[in-house]
Amino acid sequence: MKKNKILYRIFIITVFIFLNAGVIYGISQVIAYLNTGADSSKMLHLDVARTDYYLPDVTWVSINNPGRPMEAANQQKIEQDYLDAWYVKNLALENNNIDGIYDHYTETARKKVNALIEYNAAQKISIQSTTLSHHITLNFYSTDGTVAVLTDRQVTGVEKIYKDHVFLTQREFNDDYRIILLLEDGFWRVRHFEKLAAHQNTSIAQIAPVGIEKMQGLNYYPEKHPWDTFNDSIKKETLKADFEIIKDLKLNTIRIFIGYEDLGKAAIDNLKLKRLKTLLDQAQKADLKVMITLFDFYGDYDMNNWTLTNRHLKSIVNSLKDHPAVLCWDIKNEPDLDFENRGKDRVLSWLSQTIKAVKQLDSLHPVTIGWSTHKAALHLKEDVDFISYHYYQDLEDLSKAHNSLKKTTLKPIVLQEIGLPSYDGFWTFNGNDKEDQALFYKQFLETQKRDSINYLLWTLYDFDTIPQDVAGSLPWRRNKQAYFGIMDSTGIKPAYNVIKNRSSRLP
Amino acid sequence: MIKRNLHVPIFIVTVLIALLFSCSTATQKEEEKRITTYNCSIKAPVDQVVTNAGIVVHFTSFVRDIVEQLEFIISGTYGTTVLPIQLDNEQFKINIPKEITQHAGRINWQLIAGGKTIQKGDFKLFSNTNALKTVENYLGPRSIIANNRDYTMLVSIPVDSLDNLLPDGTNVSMRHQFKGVIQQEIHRVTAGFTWHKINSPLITGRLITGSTLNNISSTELVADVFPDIARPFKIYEDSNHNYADGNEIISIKTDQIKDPNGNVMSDGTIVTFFMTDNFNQRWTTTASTVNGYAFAKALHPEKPSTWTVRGVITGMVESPEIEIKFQSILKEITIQPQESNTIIVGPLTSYLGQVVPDGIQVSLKLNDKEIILKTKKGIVSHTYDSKTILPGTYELKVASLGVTALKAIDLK
Repeated sequence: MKKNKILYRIFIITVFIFLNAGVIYGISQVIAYLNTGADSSKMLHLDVARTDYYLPDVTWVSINNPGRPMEAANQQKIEQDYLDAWYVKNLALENNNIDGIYDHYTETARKKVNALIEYNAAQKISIQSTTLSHHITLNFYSTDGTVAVLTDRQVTGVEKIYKDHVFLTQREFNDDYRIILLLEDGFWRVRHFEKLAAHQNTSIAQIAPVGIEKMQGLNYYPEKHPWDTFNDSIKKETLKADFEIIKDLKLNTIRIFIGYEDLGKAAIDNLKLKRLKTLLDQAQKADLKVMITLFDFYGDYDMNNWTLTNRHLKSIVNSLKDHPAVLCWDIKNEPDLDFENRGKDRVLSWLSQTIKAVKQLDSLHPVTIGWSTHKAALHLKEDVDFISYHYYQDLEDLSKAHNSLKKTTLKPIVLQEIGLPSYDGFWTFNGNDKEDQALFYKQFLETQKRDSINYLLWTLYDFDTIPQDVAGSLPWRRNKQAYFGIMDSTGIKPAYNVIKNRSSRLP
Repeated sequence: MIKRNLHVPIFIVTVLIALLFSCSTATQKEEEKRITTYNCSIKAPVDQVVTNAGIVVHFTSFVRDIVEQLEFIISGTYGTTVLPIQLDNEQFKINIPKEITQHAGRINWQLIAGGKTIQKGDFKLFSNTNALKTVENYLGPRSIIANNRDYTMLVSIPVDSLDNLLPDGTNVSMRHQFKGVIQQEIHRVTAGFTWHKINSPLITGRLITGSTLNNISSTELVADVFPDIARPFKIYEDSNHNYADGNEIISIKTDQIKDPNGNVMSDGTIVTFFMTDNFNQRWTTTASTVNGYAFAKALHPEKPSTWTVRGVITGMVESPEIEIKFQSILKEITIQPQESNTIIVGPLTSYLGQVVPDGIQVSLKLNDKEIILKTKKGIVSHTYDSKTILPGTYELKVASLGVTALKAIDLK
C-alpha cells in the first residue's frame, strides 16, 4: 500500500512537471511567434540572397550601343531581371496565376500577359515552358540608364501544352524577340515584347559511336567509398591500384557515376571536379576508357529546373570533353525507375532535352541512357547513339532479351550492368555463395561470347556500407547490394579468376 | 532438352503471329492518319495588321468525325494557347481571340490531332500605322548643367492604338523649347524607338520637350538646366563699427556668385566662411545664397583682435581671404576705493564715454584664483569672504575687454 502511494506520488509529480513544461513551452512559442514579423530592413530587398532557380544559357552578343556604355553591374542586373521576367511568365502560364508578373512587367505590358493568362485559365489550358538559351544584343541604353532595348535572338526552349490536365503536345521553339525594358522601382520591367521571327529547330546529328563495340569492363566504385567516388580520402594511389587490377582482368572500360548534388548542382564544386579529372588521368594511364554516368541521384525532372541541370551539364561536359579517357556520356542511371513517381512523360522529356544539350556541347562522344531493363531500353532509342540496359533477371533469358533488343535497332547495344551477389545470409532462404557467383559469371561469359555482348560488370568490390539512398533501409536489400563484388576485403573471389581467364578476353 | 526443343517452334510461331497482328494494326492506323491528314485543313492566316476583333480561320476541308479530335495551338509574343474548333452555320471555324491578335509579331500555329501535327504555319501581325495612340517619351537626366559637355536624352517610343511598336523608318518629330526658341528634328524609328541628344544650353532655365507623329503626340517632359561650377568670388565685411565690444553683429557677405557663363548660382548654394583670429582660434559659419549672394553673421569679439576670413563653396571654389581688425572699446579700468572686503570695478566706459553694454566679462584674479563677473550698468562688484581667504594685503588683477589693471587690496 505504502509502495503504491509513493508510486502515485511520483507519477503525479512527474505529470505535473511535464504538464507545466508543456504549458511554458507553448506560451514561449506563442510569444516567439508574436515577436516575429516583417523587419523594416527587408523592405529594400537588400538581404534577399539570390539562389539558383533559372539559369538558361545566356550569351551577350554585343553591348555596344549609341546611348551610354553599359556597366558590368547594370548588365548583370538587366540580365537577371530580364530572365526573371521569363521565369515569372513561365510560372504564370503553367499555374494560370499572375503572381510575380507585377514585379517584372510595366502596367501596360502586365495587362497583355494577364489577358492571355485569364484566357488560358478560362479554357483550362496550362502551358509548362522553359527557355534554354538566349543570345542578347543590347541595341540601346539611355543616358540616364532607365531605358534599355534588347534583341534576344535564338531563344530556344520547350513547352508542353495541357488542356484539362491532359497532355496535348510538346513544342520546341527557337524565336527572336525584341524587348524594351524600363527601370522602375529598382526593377527592370518589360515594357514591350515582340516576337520578331521563329526559326526551325536545329536538328542534332547522331554521333557514330566509336569504341563501344568490344566493350568489356565494369562499374567502378572505390572499395571504401561506394557511391562516393569523389570523397576527399580517396587518393591517387588507390585509384591507380584499382585500375591496375581492372587492367589485369583484361578489361578496357569502367563506368563511373557523377552525383548531381555531389558535384554541386548548378554551381559546380571545383574540388570534386578536380578529383574527377584525377580519376580520368589515372584511367588514361591504365589505358582504360571511362563511361561517365551523369545526374546520379537526380530525381526531379521538373521543367522549371531544366536550366539548372543544363548549367551543371555544361560545366561538367565542357571541362571533361577533351580528356582522352572519356568514352561516352550516360545521361542517367535507370531513369525508368522514376516513371511511376515522376511521370513517364516528364522523365522522358527531360532525358530527351538533356541528350540534345550534351550533343550541343560535345559533338564527339556518343550518348546513352542506362535503362534498368532491356524492355525499358526501347525508350528514346532514336535519340541515343547506342543503347544501354541492365540485366538482373534469369541468366538463361539473357540471350533472348539481348537479341530481341538487337532486332529493334541497328545501334550498338551495351549490357551496362550485370552481376550476382555472393550473399547467403540470414535474410535469404537460398542465397548464392561465392562459387555460385563464379558459376554465374562462367555461364554469362559463354552467352556473352556467343552473342558478342558488350558488357560492364557490377562490380569490382564488395562494400561494407551501402548508403540508404541506394538500396533503401531494408536489410535484405542492403545486404544483397553489398556482395556484388568479384573481390572482397580478404582478396579475390572465385569469380575473379573466371573473369580473368575467360576465353573472350582482350589481348 | 525435349522441352527446350518444343520451346523454340512455339516461340517462333508466337512471334510470327504477333508480328502479323501488329503489322495489320499498324497499316490500319497509318491509313487513318492519312485520311486525317488529307481531309482536314485550314486556310492558313496571312500576314495582316493587328486587330482587337480576333481573326477567324476557316476550314478548307474537314471530316466531321475527326474535327472533335483536332486542337489548334497558337503561339504569339506573350505565350501559347489552345483554341477550340467552333461550329457555325454548318461550317467549322477557329476564332483566334484578341488576346493573340492584338499584339504585333510573328505568330506560329499548329493543327494537331492525337499528338500528331496535321498542318502548321506562321504569319505576321503588323502594327496598325493608321490608328496611332501615343508617343511615349522618356527624358533623362532631368537636371543638367549649363555647359558645353552636358546633355540630356529624349527617347521616343511611338505606339499604335493596341500598344504595338511601330515599324522601322517611321518618322518622329522631336522638339524642344528653351527660352522661347523651338528646335525640331526628325528622327527615324529603329527597333521600335528613336532618340535624340539635346545639348545643354549655356544659360540656366527649363528645357521643355515633346514629340509628335502625324496627329499624335507625347506628354511634355521637362529638364532643368542648372548653373555650372561657380567662378571665384569675393567677400566683404559690413559692420556699424570696428570696436571689440562683444555686442555688435558683423555681416560677412559675398558678391554675386556666378558660373563661367554668367549664370547666378542656384539659391541655396551653401557658402562656408572659415574664420581664424590672431589667438589662433578657428570657427566657421555657413550661409546659403539667395540670388547669388550669401550673408553670414558673427558677433564682435570682446577683446581687440584680428580675424582672417575666407568663403568656400565646398568642392568648387573659394574666395580670397580678408582681414578684419577690432579695436578695444575700453581705455582704462577704474577700480573704486575699497570698502571693507567688497571690490567694485567700474563704471567701465566705452569709446564715446558711454557705459559699456551689460554682460561684459570682467575677470578678477587674486592669488591665481580667477572670478568672472558680468557687468550691469558698467559695474561689477565682488565681496571676498574672509573665511576662505586669510586677511592680509593682496595684489588684485582686473581684466576686461583686453585691458588689465593691478591694484593692491587689504582684506580683513
